[in-house]
Amino acid sequence: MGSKSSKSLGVLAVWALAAGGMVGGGIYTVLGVVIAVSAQWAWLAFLLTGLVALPSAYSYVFLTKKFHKEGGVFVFLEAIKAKNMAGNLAWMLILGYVLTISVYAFAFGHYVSFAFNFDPLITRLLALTIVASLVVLNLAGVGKLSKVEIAIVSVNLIVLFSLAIYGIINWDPNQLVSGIEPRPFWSSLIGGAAIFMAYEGFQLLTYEYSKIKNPKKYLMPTLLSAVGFVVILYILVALGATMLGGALSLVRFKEIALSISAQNAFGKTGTIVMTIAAAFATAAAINSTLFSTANLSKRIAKQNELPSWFNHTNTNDVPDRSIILLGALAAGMAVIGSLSSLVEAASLAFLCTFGIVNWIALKESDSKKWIPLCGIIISGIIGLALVFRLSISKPLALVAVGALVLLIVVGRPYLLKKTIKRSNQNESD
Amino acid sequence: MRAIKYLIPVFLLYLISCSEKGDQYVELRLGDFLVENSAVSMKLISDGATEKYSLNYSDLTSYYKIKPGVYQIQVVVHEKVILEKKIGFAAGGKFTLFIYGLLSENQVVNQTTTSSQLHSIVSGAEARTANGYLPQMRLLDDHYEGGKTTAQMRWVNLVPFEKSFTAEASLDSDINFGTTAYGNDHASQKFDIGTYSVIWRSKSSPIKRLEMSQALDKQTLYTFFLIPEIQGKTGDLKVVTGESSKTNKEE
Repeated sequence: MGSKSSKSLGVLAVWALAAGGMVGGGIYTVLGVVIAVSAQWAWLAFLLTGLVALPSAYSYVFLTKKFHKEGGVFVFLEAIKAKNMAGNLAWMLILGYVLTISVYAFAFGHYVSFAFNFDPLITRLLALTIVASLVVLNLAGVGKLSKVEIAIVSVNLIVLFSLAIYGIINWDPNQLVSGIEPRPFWSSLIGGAAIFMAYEGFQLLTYEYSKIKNPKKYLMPTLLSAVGFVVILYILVALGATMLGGALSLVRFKEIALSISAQNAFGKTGTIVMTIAAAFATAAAINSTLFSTANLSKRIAKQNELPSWFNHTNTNDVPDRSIILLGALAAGMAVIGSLSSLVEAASLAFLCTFGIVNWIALKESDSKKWIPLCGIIISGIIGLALVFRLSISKPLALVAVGALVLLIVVGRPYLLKKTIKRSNQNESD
Repeated sequence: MRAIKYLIPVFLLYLISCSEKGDQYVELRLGDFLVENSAVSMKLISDGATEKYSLNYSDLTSYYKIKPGVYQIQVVVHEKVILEKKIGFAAGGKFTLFIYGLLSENQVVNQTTTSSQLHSIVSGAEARTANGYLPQMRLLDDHYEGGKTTAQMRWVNLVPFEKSFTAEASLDSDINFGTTAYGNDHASQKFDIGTYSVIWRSKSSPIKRLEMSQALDKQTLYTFFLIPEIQGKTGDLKVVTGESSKTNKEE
């Protein structure tokens, strides 16, 4: 599964995969959500959340290099002997990834459906179909296709940049508040909180550490420049796409905001180009997240922090049960969920994770402590803003997330104890 | 790799050649669904100039063409400003601006419940609350974004003191047309061309509250504002229909 050759990812590939991991699903799904909350300050929301992503990227690379292991936050917590916390967070992170996959699938369904004027039922079926297809591909051992992903990312970035630049050339500040009330600048904090998941993709790269050429030298500048680039790209797209689509239209059609902008600017050609870009980008993002999450589950199961059931592999050495279960959960959520709820729940999971990674980096570093400290402070503030937003606008979703976390913290040790006991019993039989 | 280097500028040039120049004005229609017998004035103030429109209950105007800009909008009843808001209108936009709710005895400008204020802070343009059925102002985007051979319908529940309504549209068979709470709209839904019977019921009730017939033309968005009938019996409902056709309909 995955790339057969070791050390196959060079600087450009790492950069493209990191940028693509973020942009892949992020901007396609979150633009309308953030404009609704922050209006003319949507660009500032992307900048603020970027200020969490940048120190978090630094902390991820710092810790990956320090422990010289792939596996992300689970490995970091294990390395600092916080085994229980590692287990809890790993479960939460898997939940975050499932939500992320469902957001990407949701976006895939809506973008494709809009181009063909399909019914809502077909839209949901498309979301289900893309996840099912990628599950089958992964089970067949196709796994992560870095070269294909890099090609998709390149096209994707060109399309987004073209749209953003064309929009900015047609500058009309009225579009930023067209049909809506101008909002105060602090609304960018709440808007940013709601869409933080748009930045989560870069950390999947830390799971590929062993495949990266000369990571000690190149990983830090490559990842930081990729995150910095994406922050700038998001700001440009937030401004440019709104110039073309108008604020209220992008809020109304938040599921397909970029297609609306492209259609307004370039007519049918714009819709076609954006649909192709969105479909490939979201499909690549689903594939890469599914692949990495399944491997993460296998790794966690090996450390007895997930039931050994997840450790099972098929004849292609693919963690088949993990892939099927994760895919089924994500597809289910994409079919029944609403965009805002999925995006916000995923954002909360990643804000917690990034905050913890920054905290570990703060503990483990001897110099440049201000970088993870900034990450902790800003992610804390944005996390509080998100909890505030959820408690007002979606209290049930917040209670559900809280209950899940409680279930993980309380139920996980019990479930693991039970499964370990059963497997020991099977072995002795 | 070399091919890509040449393809990118060609692709960008092609995209620019496809660019569509939009309208230089804004299309705006106004709706008065404030449950009130007296006439309402809506003032649109921008750059020192004021446009004043007088409306009666259940009026929905045709589209006016206005200049793009950020407008101060005031709603005046009994010579008293009850709602005031700043809203941007950009060139090419097509909107319905409407008011709804009930006047309170001591109505003040932008009277808002705490819950409504909190929702506005965290949800911005997507905040939808009953606001204690006090007067509110809202904008709908009226662009038709559907197929060439189909139409779209949506509806807005503006009936105070009733929780939710469920709608059903029938042509050859019954089509679920959503359940919507007060102050909310059921997003535009695609329909084939034809004459539909649209029925509204109180949520979870089999009894029809209102039935109407609507012929659908292609590439047109039909917006139904479900409001109380103030001339009839208590509980009677009325629908005001707004049509928004796609400009330059494609064959």
